Formats: sequence, C-alpha cells, structure tokens
Amino acid sequence: MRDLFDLVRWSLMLARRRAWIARRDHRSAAFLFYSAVAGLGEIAAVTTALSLFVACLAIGAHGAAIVVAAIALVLILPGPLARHVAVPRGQHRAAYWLVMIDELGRAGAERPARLVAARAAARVGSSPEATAWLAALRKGRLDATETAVQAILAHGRGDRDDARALFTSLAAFADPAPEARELAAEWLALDDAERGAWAELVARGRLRARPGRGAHRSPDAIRHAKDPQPEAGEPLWPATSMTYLLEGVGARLLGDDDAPSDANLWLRWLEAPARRATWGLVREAIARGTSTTKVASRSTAPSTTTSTSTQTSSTTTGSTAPSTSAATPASPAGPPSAATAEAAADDRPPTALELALRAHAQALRDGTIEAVAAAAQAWDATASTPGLAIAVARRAIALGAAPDAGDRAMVELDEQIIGELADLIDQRALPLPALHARAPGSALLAAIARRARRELLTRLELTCDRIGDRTHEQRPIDAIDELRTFVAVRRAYEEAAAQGGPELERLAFPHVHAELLQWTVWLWNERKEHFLSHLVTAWLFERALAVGDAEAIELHGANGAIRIPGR
Amino acid sequence: MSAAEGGGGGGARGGGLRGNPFFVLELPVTAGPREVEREAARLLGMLELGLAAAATYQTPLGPMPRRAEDVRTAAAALREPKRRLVAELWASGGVAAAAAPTTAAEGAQTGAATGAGAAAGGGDVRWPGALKATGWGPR
Repeated sequence: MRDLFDLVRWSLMLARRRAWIARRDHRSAAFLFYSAVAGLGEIAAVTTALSLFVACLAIGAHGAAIVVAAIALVLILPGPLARHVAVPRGQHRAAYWLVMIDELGRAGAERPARLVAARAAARVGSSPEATAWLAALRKGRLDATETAVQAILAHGRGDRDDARALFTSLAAFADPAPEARELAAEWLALDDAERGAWAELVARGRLRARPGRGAHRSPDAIRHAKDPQPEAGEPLWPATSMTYLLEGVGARLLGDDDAPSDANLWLRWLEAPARRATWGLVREAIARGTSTTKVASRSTAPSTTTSTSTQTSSTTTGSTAPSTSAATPASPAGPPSAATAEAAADDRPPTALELALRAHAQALRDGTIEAVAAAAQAWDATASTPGLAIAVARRAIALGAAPDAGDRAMVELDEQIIGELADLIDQRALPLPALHARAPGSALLAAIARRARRELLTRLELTCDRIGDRTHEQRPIDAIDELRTFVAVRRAYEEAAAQGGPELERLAFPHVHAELLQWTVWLWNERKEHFLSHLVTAWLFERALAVGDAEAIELHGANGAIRIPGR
Repeated sequence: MSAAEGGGGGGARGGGLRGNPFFVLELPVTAGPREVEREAARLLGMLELGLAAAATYQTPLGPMPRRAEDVRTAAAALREPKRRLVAELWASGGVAAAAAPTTAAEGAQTGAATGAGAAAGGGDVRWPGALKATGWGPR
C-alpha cells in the first residue's frame, strides 16, 4: 500500500517536472500531455478521497468517514502548512516535521524536509541554534542537498557571495537531487534578477545535463559533452514557474530571437507566484522588448560619440597640458632636456617618446586590449629610435651620474612600463591571447605577457599549495569548507585560464593536478566524502581533456568511473 | 621600482605616470636641486596646514591625492641622478596634466572593454528585493 502511494506521488511529481521541461523546450504537445497526466492524477486522488468520504456517510459509517477525512487532511495539509506557515514564521523544526509527514513513506523524505527547514531558518537570519540543529540532522557525507542547505543558511546570514558560490556548485555534483537543484535554480535566477545579470540567467536556463542530471558528471558524459546533441539530456537547472518567467523577461530584455511574445510572457506571469511584485518587471520587459530593434540600431551612434569625444579630449589635453613645461626635447628623439611650455605646444611633430607616453596614459585610462596593444607598440617604436639612448646618456652625464646610468635608466624605464601595464592587465583581467593577437611582433608586449602570466600562475599555485599541505598533514576541515576551498581553486584556475589562454592552462594544469589528486584520494578513501571527491575528480578529468594530458585523462577517467557508494 | 609600486591605485609611489616626482612637486624637468628643495618645503608646509590647494596634483591619469610622504619620496628621487633620469623620461611626454576622462565616459569605456555593457544587456533593469518578495527573506 505504501509502495503504491509512493508510486502515485512520484508519478505526479515526475509528470509536473516533465511538463516544465517540455515547456522550456517549446515542446507544446509534450507539455500538454504531462500537464494533463499531472492534473488528471490530482483530480483522481481528490475524487477518490471524496468518493470514499461520501460513500462512508451514505452507508452511515460516520466513524469511517471521519477517518477518511482525517487521512485526506493529513495527506494534503502538511505540505502547504510547512511552506506557507512554518517557513514564513521562521519555525524550522515545525517546517521539518510537517514536510516529513507530507512525504510520509517516501525514501529520502528528510532531504526536502531539511531544505524547507533551512529556508525557515534563513527567514530569521540562520541563527546558530538553527544551524546546529540542521547540522545534527545531517547524516554522513556532503551531497547536493546538504550543499543547498548550507547555501540557504549562508543566504540567511546575508552572505550572498557564499550562497551564490554554493548554489552554483550544485551543477558539478554527480547527484541528481531534483529538489535541491530546483531551489538552487530559483535562487540563482532571483539573484540574477536583483543584479540585472539577465545574460547569465538566460544562459543558465539553456544548459543541458547529458544523459541526465548527476550522470552528466561521469567521464563518458564529460568526454561527449561538446558533441552536438541539441535536444539530448535534460535541463541542468530544473525550471519552475518563477525561473521560467524570469528567463522570458531576460530573453526580452536581451532581445533574443527566441524571446517569448507579449502574450506568452503574460501567461508565464500568470502562472508564476508573486504576481504583484513582478508586474512592473514584466511591463518593463515588454516595453523594452518591443523597442529592442530600434534601440540596437540607435545604440551605435551614442557609443561612437562617447569614444570620439574621449579621444578628442585626451588629444587636446595632451597638447595643451601644463606639464609640457616639463618636457622640451633636445633632440628629435625626444629625451628630456631644457624645456618650456611654449616649446612643447609648438607645431613640431610629437616625438616617439611623447607618442609612447600618450599611448601609455591612454592605456591606463581606458584599460582596453586595443589601448594596451597600442601602448606596447608605441614603446617598441621608441626602442628603435637610436637618438633616445644617446640623448639619455648625454643627460646622465649632465646630471653627474655614473657612466652607465643612462643604460640603467632605460632598463628601469622598461621595468616600470612592464610593471604598470602588467598590473593593468591583471586588474582588468584582459585576455593575453587577444592582446598577443593585437600586436603579434611586440617585444614589450611579450615581456608584459610573461610578467602577467607569472603573476597568474603564482597566485594559482599558492591557492593549490594550501590544499596540498593540508592533505599531506591529513588536517581535515568540515566537508562544506572543503567544497568552498575547491570552489575557490576552480575559480582561480578558470580565471587564470580565461585570461592566460590555452598556453597558460597547459602550464597550470600539471601543478593543479599534482596537488588536487592526493586530495581527491584522501577525501574518498579516508574521509568517505565520495560526492566531493568525485566532483573534484570530474573537474580534473575535464581540464585534463582540455589540455590533452594523456596520463591525467587516464587516471581521472578511471577514478571518475568508480561507482559512488550508495548513490 | 616594482610592478606593484608602479601600478598602485593612485597617489605617489615614486615613479611611472601616477607618482612621477615632477608631477608630485609640480616642477618642470628643468628644475634644479634648489628649486626641488624649495618646492618640497613649500608643499610640506601647505600640507601641514591642511590647505586644499596642496591636497592633489595633476597627472595624465587625472588628479591624484598628495600626502607629505609622497612629497618627501619625490624630493628624494630627484636628488638621485638615475632615478631623476627615469622620472624625466616619464615626464617628458607633454601629457602631465592631461585631464582624465569623465567618470561617465570611463564607465562607458570599461563596459565596452569587458563586454558587460549594462544597458545593452538589460543590466539597467533590475528587480530589487526579488528574493525577499518571493519568500526567501530574511524578514
């Protein structure tokens, strides 16, 4: 009987989820079918209960009718009570037990119960007492549900960055955890909506998990992840009525080709909760979406104007700058010498050094790839100006410096240029391959790139070394903190790889592989944190494939294929 | 000078375009040792009195805050021939007081550089308090 009840409940839930997947994939027939199955199932359940109740009354079995009514109420009420009473009131214990009753008979009922309890705790600031109570409920290893619980608690503490990082990390778990993923998807979509990160929101909605959530992190799935299978698998982040609405709003704001029509967007709005709160947003999206084409066609003009006015401004100020009083070259090469403002403001063409300094200033102001490449090329041009070195040597003698002071000053100048531009590249996270492509033959740019690459690698190695040292000393920290550490390493690695390109990733991977391999072994064998270990292994396998490290591919492929106990 | 020093975020750091001693002391590269000392003393006095006129100096990257420490570092750099020579090179481009772009223009350029143009991506449309409005709290 219990199994039958469980089967009915699961069928209904599955039908509802399938309906949302079909809806998001624009498969109208499938959506209607699954919606009809879910609706008919619910109607059948209510009709059966009502029929039983009426039948009992009809035959005069009032006691039985009361029992039927009580059972029906116990089956129907706890879920809504938990979500609409206990959670808003911050009663985590009540929320937990109501969901446990609601999910009676279902294996793993404590998973949704812990999630709902965490939401209740988060409503009142994730108190230490509630956090400890929830921690006591956790049995065994860290999985996707526990990660979502910790993310919700982080949200309650007001730590949005931590919540975002933990929710996002759910994508990497080899654990289907539909409830946890659904919550995470909704939280991330709402967070994106608050930040105006519509592109991220829409992109997340399009991600697929092949062959399915959880299984998408197997080595085979990772190996074939890039194969063209547009409709295969299932959405990595399950849709809810709210995420579906926000994805529609995002698509309209971004002017996507497959953005929903006005009617479709209003329909999504009707289906989603918090209609009063989203009314203005939907109206804004519709207003913007209608004029997207016009705005896009006009947008070029203002941006060109901005750019031109800035250029003009810098050129003008460059030629009339008071500092020209500090710069009147003695030779055509333009080294420092006796100067007056009038001399610098005259009609003579700018020297190579002056051009390089202007380009350098422009690069520091703009921080764009184009500006940095132009500055590097301008500095390269000064190096091929023989008059500059001679004039600097003369000036060194005039200042009473050592005989080689001129040469050393030129070396020092190079160092400072490289330092300033490498810092700029780091601060603006400018991609090195794109920079190289802009000025392929630039010697200075090559030196700047080397410096920037070294900085990136050093930072990444420091982050990895901390994990390596801890593993070596077998110094455990809480599993959720181990996950946070991994998230930090992965972020540092991905940022470095994005900035440094494939060349840097090939240099970085062996170190990351060496440090993290022992960590995954320790997590699996000693700490029994199988999901966490698998998550890191799958990522290492992915990166090994990207850099083509055959040995690492074989090793992590074999480790990643080991079945996770109890999954 | 190290890269970190050169790329520091504002204020004099003894070199480059931001902390060039000639810019800090507002002197031409022709200034002799006596002028350097006189100007340094004048600026230190003004800073001690908290005069607004001495609080910033012009650079090609816009105005930078000036502290007494910057003035002393600049004067020391100009006393040493090699460091002075490098500073002269940086100051010789005729760009010292080139005005920095307005904040708005800077923002626009940054957006273009990172490909994160807010208006173009609908980033100017936000739903403040989305999580709270949908029951995520905190209350």
